[in-house]
Formats: sequence, structure tokens, C-alpha cells
Amino acid sequence: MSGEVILKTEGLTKHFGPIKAVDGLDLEVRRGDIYGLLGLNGAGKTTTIRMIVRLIRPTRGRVLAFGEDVRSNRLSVLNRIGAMVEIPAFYPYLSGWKNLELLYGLSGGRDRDRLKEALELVGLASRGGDRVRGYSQGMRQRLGIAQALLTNPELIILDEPTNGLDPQGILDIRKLIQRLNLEQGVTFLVSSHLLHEIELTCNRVGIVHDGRIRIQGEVRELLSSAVHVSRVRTTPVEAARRAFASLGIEIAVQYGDVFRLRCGADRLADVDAALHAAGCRVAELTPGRVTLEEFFMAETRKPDGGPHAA
Amino acid sequence: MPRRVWRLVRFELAKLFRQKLPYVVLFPIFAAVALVILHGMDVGEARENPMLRNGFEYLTASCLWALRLVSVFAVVLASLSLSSEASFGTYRMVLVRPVTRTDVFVSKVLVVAIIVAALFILTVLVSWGLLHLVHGFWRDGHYMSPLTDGKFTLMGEEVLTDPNRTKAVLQADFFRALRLSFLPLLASGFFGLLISSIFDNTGAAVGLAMFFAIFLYGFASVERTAGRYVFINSLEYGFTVAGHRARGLSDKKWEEEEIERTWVVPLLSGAAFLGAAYVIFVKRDILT
Repeated sequence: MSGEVILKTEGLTKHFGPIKAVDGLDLEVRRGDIYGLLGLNGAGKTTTIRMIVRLIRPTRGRVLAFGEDVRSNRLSVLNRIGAMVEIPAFYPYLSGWKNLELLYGLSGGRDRDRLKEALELVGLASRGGDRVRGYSQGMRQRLGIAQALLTNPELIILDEPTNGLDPQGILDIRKLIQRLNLEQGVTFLVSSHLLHEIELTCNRVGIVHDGRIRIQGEVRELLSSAVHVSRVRTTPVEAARRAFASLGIEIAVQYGDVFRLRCGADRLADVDAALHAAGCRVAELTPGRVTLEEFFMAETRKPDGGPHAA
Repeated sequence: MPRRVWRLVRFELAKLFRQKLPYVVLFPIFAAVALVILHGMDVGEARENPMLRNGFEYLTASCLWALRLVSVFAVVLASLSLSSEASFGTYRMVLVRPVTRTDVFVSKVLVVAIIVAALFILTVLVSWGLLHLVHGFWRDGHYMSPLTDGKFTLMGEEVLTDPNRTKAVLQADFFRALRLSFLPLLASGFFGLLISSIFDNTGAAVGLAMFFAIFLYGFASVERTAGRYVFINSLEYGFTVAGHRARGLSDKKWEEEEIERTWVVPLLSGAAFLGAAYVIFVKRDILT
């Protein structure tokens, strides 16, 4: 990763009357990132994306893309961006191909091979001639991704790209994103509330909550910084409690002979040795691993401590 | 900007001609023309009073009826123009392309103008063609025809030469009526655009635009003094006077003051509609 910031929002704010949809949001997407924008429904993800592509005007703050203010350089910026905002909408009386051809034409593109390639990339080559009216939501979603790819953009913004897709479709899109990122160096900003998908797809994430970035950073670093909880099943219980105390490890929960300990995989060897030394019989020892989902839930349940980065 | 607008105009036209609406609307327009022109075959009354009929009378009447329909269509088409994008959600696809909102708006205005102009020309050509086809195109001079240069004929018999209603005079009247009616047609389209810029729902936009259009037509025809200041009223003036003059009602004169109003009212109305629609469209957040 080169580390060059190609998309940045500074204090981005949008008020709809008394409602603060986005409230001073600062995010940074670096060249080569697959950046996941995570948040609950209504957290402000789509409003943020709409402000980035200037579908709506920020109440305050600004968006910088490729070092330029999007407000004053919208055309040059949008020449380098492909975007799909929310559920893609097309002209239902036109075929998928014709929709793409017309939209591509607006960017000055005429290359029919590129249209064909985009349809093939999203697995719609055989249905391109059908009217969009007859497309399923998953097919529309694929067509939406295809239109975002048309101009070979440097940055692709996808808002909930796997909405309405079946498991195979989700897998295909994930692979497509990773392939374009790896082979062509395309940077992605992907918003979603499918945490598992984001964890598998993205290298960096930002968690949006109540219109603000609660935390952003490398997925690996964020998860390793989280408190892990390992699971141990052992008897006798009292001897085990003393062994844990001797190691200074806190018991999160105990039910029967099952303990959940606040420690990561790196301490489990010590735990095993201490338990054996205390005469305990160990039936199970499972290293703790925090998933993005658990991390996300923990972050969004915290009282608001303001945005910070890992 | 011109290149982007041209791309958008082609984009709009490509979409439009793949829908049923522009084709469906041709039926009532052509039907109105055909009814008026074919009615000219009924010459029983005219036999006894040949002063009653000549080709320009039918031409002005058919154009007036057809262009009334064109103006209604212009309102409908334009009221769908922006609202349908909002309703389908396709703004999200168009406005993330390297085009500005001004480009999009200008292209919509141009498309409305192109369609109105095309229908206007088509109406005149169809009226002219049908009139000649039915009444003498193939046997000029044997049927009622505006091409007989001041000699008004019926069923092949020359019945009258009217020095006050020569072909040149009536032709000039007809072209003047055409010139006067184009701006109100455009203003009708721009009125539809204004309504379209306000609503995200096509049903609401079309319904309200039609409601206002019908109200304004009614108001202009009933309340004649105030109605002269309604843009739609200007559509009527040219063809009504030209029609009267073609029928030999010599007391019907072109009034310079009325002609000026016929230009100015739709011009100012159209400009006001466009200005308001532009401000609303450019300032709005795209939330659909």
C-alpha cells in the first residue's frame, strides 16, 4: 500500500432539519485500500457516500478526492471515480446493455468491448440483451457494479454491493473486488452492514455510528487491539480459579466448569501449564478470537467517546 | 459543456424513443388533423354558400386543434422529464457521471424544445399533406385547395375569386399564426418542467401539471380579459384570427397590441418557469 490518501472527508456534516444524519465525519481512504464503511442502518453511511459524489450538499465540511475539493472540481474527480449508490436504478424499458451503453456514453465512452467485458466481469453477459424490467434484484445489483467499472476508475465506491445477492453472488463480488484491487490497483470504498463480508473483503474499515467515525484503521490491527476472550473447560473449579488468579488473568464469565477468560491465544500455554500444576484436568482450551462483528458491536455499544483511529 | 450537453441530449432522445409515450401521442394529434380535414369533404352546405370553405380554413382549424394537443403533450412530457428520474432513482446513476446538474437541466430543456418543435413541424406537414391528399393534391384545381392562388374552387368547379383573400394573403396569415403559436407551446413545456422539478413522484407531477394546464385553458377561454395574460391563451390567438380571416370574416384584423402580448406573455412566462425550475433542480439534494 502506498499510503497516499486519495479520499478524505473533513468534518463532513449533513443536517436534515433537526436531524443530524452525519455529524463531523472524518474518513481517509488510501490508494490501494479496500475500505469498509461499517454502520448500523441509519448510521450515516449512504448520506456520506451521497455527499462524496455530490448527490447531496454537505451542511458543513468538505470532501477531498485525489487532493482536489470535490465541490469545486466535481467533473475531474468524477472522471476518476465509479460509484454505485444504494440499490442501483436503471431504465426498466431498456436492456441491461443499452443502459450501460447510455451511461458509458455520458462519460464519453464508446468502446463496445469494454461494455462486454464489464458485463462478463459481473456474470451478466448472457442476459445483457434482456430488459432491466425482468431483472432480479441481484441482477440489478450486478449491473450496478458493472456500470461503476465501465470507465476503469481509480476509485470505486459501492454502497451495499452485496444486497440482494445469493451466497454465490456474494462470493463472486468479493472475488471481483479483491481481483481488481490486486491486479489493477483499484481502490474501493465499500459500505455495508454485513460485517463478515467486510472482514473477509476489506483491509481497512471505518465504523460509523450516529453520523461520526467511531474508529477506523487496519482490520488486522483493530482486531488484535481488542480484548480477546478464551474458553477453558476444567475441573476442579476452585483450583482452576486459583491458577487463573496466580497468572493475573481475569475471568469474564463462569458457568459450571466452563470459564471465559480475558486473554488471547498468546497466554494459553501459561494457562495450560498453571492448570496442570494445580492438578486440574483440562477438557477444552479454545483460543479467543474477536470477530469484526464482535468488535463492531462492542464499539457501537460504547458511550460516545469521539472519533479516533487505530 | 456543449459536448457534455450533446451527449446528454442523445441520451435523453435514445431513452424517449424507446418508450411508448411519443408514439401513442401521435394518434390523437393525427386524429384531430384527420377529423378536421376529412370534414372538409362534406360540402353540401358549402355548395350553396361557397364563401364558407377554403383550404386555409381547414389548415388553420386542424393546426389549432392538433397544436392544442401538442401543448398538452408538452406539459405531460416535461412534467415526466425530471420527476421520472427522481422516481426511478436514475439520478443516482446519471449524476455520478462527469456531468453537471446544469448540463442535465439544459439537456432536458433542449429535449423538450426539440420534441415540441418536431411535433409542431409534423402537425403542419401532416395537415398540409392530408389536406392536399384529400382535397386536391393529386388533381390540383379540381378539389378545394389553397394552391389555387385566390381562386376558391369546390368539387372541381371554380366558384369565386376573392381579391381580399388571395392565396398570398391567407398564406401570410397562416405563417404568422404558426410563428405566434410556437412560443406558447414551448412555454407549456417549460411549465411542465417546473412542476417536474418540484416532485419526485411522476403521478403527482403529471397530475398536477395537467390540472393546472386544464385550469389555465379554461380560465383563458372564460375570463377573456385576464386570460390574455395566460401563456396558453397565446396559442389560440394566431390560428383563431387566421381562421376567421380565411373564412372571410373581414372584421377580424390582426391587432399589433395583441400580437405583442402573444409574444411577450409566453416568453416571460417561459423564462420564469425555466428560471424557477433550474434553481429548484440545482439546489435540491438527490435523496431518492
